[in-house]
Amino acid sequence: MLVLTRRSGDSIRIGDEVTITVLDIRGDVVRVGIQAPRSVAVHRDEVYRELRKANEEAAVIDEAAAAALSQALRRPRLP
Amino acid sequence: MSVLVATRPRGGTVTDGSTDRAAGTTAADLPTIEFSTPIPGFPEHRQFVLVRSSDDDPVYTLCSVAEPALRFLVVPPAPFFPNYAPEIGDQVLEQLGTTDPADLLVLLVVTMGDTPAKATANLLAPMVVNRSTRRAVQVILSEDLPIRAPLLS
Repeated sequence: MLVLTRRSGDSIRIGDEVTITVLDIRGDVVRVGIQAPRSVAVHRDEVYRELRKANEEAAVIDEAAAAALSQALRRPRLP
Repeated sequence: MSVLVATRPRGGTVTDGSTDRAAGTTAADLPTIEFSTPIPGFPEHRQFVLVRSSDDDPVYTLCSVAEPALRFLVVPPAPFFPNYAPEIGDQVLEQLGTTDPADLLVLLVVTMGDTPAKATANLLAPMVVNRSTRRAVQVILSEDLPIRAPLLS
């Protein structure tokens, strides 16, 4: 891992289009600003990992269970 | 939604070339939804088709074109979470090529538990589809919403 020391107000540029700026440092909290093209998804790492895990769980579909779910959802909700 | 959805028996694949029951078209004619950024966890799969087993089935299946075995169950939020009103940011609108939120179809990814009663829906990161261009993205909302909300409670 590349390790750089930056002060408040300093930036890091990644490639041609991504800039990360240290906005504010207070105690153990660092505020970071990110400039990136719209095509680059930027997320908090723990949120992204949680979503990836949830997606991986969701992608495992058992046919019989899917049919059972359809039945269960159809009955009480849609008269 | 109708232009986006094909109806076929559950378990049918989307690339087998079989005739579609509802529209009388072949699998190749099914409208393809293209994810402009990959679904987290599935970088290889950008193209999906949306199918459901019958017209009154509340559950849709989002099938990968490249690998039909890869499927997500998705539901429209309204019947299950009537108060769900995600704020779709300008950045997402731009990415999907629209300025009008009415163009968008929002779908929730369902995770099945051992029983239907344990099924959950992901309210934090809905699939958002532009109905006209069929471009899609899984949006991580900035609101404080559960990633596993019980569907039947």
